Amino acid sequence: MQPPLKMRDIVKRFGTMTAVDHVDLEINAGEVHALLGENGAGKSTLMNCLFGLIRPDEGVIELDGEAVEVTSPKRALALGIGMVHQHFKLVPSLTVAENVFLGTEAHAGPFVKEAEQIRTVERLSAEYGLEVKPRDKVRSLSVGAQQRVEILRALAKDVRILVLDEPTAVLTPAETERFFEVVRGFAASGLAVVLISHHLSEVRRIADRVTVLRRGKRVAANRIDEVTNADLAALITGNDDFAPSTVEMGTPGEVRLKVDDLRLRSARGLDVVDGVSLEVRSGEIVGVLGIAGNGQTELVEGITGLRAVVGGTVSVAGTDVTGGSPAAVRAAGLVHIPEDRIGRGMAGYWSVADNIAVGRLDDALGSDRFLSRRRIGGLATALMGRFDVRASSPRQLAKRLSGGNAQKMVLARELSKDAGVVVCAEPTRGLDIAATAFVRNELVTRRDAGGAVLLVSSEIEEVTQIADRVLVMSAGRIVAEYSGRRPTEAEVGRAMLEGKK
Amino acid sequence: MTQAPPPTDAHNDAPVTSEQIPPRTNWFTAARRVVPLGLSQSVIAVVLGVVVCFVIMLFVAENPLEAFGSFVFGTFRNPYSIGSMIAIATVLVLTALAAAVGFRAGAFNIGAEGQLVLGGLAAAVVAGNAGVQGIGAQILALVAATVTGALWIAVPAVLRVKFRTNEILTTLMFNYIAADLALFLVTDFFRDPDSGAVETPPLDESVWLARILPPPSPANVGVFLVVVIAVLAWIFFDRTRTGMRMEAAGLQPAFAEYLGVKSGRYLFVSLAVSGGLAGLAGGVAVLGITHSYISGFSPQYGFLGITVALIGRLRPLGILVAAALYASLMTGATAMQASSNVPFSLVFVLQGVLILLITSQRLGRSGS
Repeated sequence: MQPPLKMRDIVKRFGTMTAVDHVDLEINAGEVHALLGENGAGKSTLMNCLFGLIRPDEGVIELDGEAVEVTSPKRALALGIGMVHQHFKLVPSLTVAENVFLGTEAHAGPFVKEAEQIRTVERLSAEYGLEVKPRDKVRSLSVGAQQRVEILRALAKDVRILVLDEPTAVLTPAETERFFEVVRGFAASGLAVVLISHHLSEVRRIADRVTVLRRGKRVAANRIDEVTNADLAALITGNDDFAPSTVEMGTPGEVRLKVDDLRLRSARGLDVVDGVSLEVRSGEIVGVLGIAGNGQTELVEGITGLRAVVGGTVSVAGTDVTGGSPAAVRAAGLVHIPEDRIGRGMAGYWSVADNIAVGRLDDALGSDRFLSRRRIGGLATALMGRFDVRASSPRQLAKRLSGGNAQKMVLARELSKDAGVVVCAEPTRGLDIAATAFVRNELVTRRDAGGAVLLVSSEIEEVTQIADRVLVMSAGRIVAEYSGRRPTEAEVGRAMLEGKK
Repeated sequence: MTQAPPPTDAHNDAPVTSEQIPPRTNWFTAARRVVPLGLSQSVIAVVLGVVVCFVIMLFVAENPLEAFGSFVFGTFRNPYSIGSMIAIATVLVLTALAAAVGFRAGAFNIGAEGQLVLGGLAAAVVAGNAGVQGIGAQILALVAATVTGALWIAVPAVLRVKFRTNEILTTLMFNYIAADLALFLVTDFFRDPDSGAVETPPLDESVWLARILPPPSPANVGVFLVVVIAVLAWIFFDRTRTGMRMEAAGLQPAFAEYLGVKSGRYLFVSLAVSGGLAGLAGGVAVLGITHSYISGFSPQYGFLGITVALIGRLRPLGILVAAALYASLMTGATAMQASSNVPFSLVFVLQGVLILLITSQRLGRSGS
């Protein structure tokens, strides 16, 4: 039988970057097709092409053998292609039925046929086992139920192809179980399901076929029972032979940062960090590696006082700072290079000088009651020189810095401080090669000067290059630890993807 | 503006479990960002605003050139007008500082008008009934005005800090409550029985703010007071640690939180200061210009202060210049109304145009 959907030779470029590079994809009816790949491998871009959110530069999309132009999501729905995004797009104050039919209301003249909408939702809900009450307000629903509403919204348009973008990331384990049954039900009823995922264990349980993308290219398309998890992990991470690390191992001293059985919750009540324990010693870089969204961001927030601690303890240089404010954690001797350097790490509408000075108000600017502009300028100029922050002057607005220089500015403020513990998250994300090397070198220099560095990253290469110890985090837990040597990419890649202890 | 990054996987794969605070993008955000923008934006806005006024005059005035001349230069044609300009500028500096303190701490106090009205009433009542005369009564009255303004914003401030209630709405609504409350208090308790208007009895001349120009010019020593306050505000924001932290909290709350700044406390204090300054503006207007509380004594000083603050790029010293400029146009508009058929309300047209131009993100973008 002819597969209902074929994407052939799809190419999508953003500027000089080719996000999707001559990719083919065939989706069969009655099957769950998993789309695997690292962050940035092109999975979402490819699916956005399919759903009409972006137009491919080259290539053809064929439905039942006929080439179609998917110009908009509306067109995609008309063609029978539905997509459920990771971030729900629901109106909380409206009911389930109203959300399902938002924009496509069943109507008689200007009047909405509410009873008919409710009946349709009830029918679909029963047919696919998607339990919802059509009259409930969406704001009163759990995340799992909201996701069911999103799926119903696609089903109400009679889609034949349903794309699910990382559907389980927001679900509790129990909700995930139910969700899998529903997805199997879709396939059984003849729908073609595309599942974007990061988790091999999940994919193995519900997918029939897999397509693996790496750096925009399709590297494999198989039946799931023809490949092992080890094969898939290797395909996804690619076993790129990174140059062996030239950074010597550090010489660890006493424990500076101790995290014991830390538990944190998301706003939606999920256990995003579920009992993490780790230690960072002086003279050591400890890398925490994981696929984005496995609790690393929250772990950093929990340690640095930016997120309420549900259980466990955090101590910095022997001081218990559990549940302390960011100010208390800093006072105990911790500096933080945040993941979101633009939103958290700086004020874009301030000058570079002020951005540096504001973190050093109590130590580097003297004890005078009033600040001296000359002193602020002097401090900024000195640190900009030492950390190679390239700006037209210290008075340049921070928002006009390039990504690399903005990060160096954050480093200048944080690393110039005499603190025993450095916590940094994704410190080289989005930076060019030179800036990346600079940042890594600064972290190693800090380690050699006796600093305890916690490096949280989703870049395998980064962590395996400079960390002295590597912890792999998955679903809020530490699932693997490598000490005494730097692990290979394949080892950590597999641990990240399988997520098993 | 920088180009939006391409939608990549990395973007979609952002951790969904972390709560992202959506940035507040409205013209209020734009207002806060006026601070670093170049002087050019203010200059272009004022020039364009005046040009728009001229175009309006071309349509409505019998003699547009004469009306325009009065509007722009009317202030400087006689010493009385110059005195009026100084007196109005004195009040505008205070209401503009009130707006600027709020903006720089991340809050939009649009209720300066109400705080000013009640502050003015408090000043009139205290100065008239203090039992002391002269400078002592003046100080008591101005303190009463300031405290009243600060108390009037306390409810919106608490609602904002504790419950994240939008202060733009609450402070705006409090203007109407203030107007009716003042009307009620004056008519029922403090009204001058000898006057046909809704006003308090005229104040004794000893409690007037001393004139600095011969009568009847209303220019008064309040102008020195506001210059001192503006300089203090400048020192606070530019030269103190607290000022820098407060501004970080206002400009980028996530950054301030990360630095360990307690944003809520700063926000409350700055709103109280903002309300206090607006109340003081009412006191200065009553003791310095009207010499009694007259219902409707404020030609919307509170709202005009927002415009002045924006033209002054929320910088205290810029506000001094902007207030003088705006006051001269207001005085000119009074002269224009007398000498032509163009009404004073042209000032409010100018205000609207200026706010649009100043908060526009593209106008006169400087390369600073």
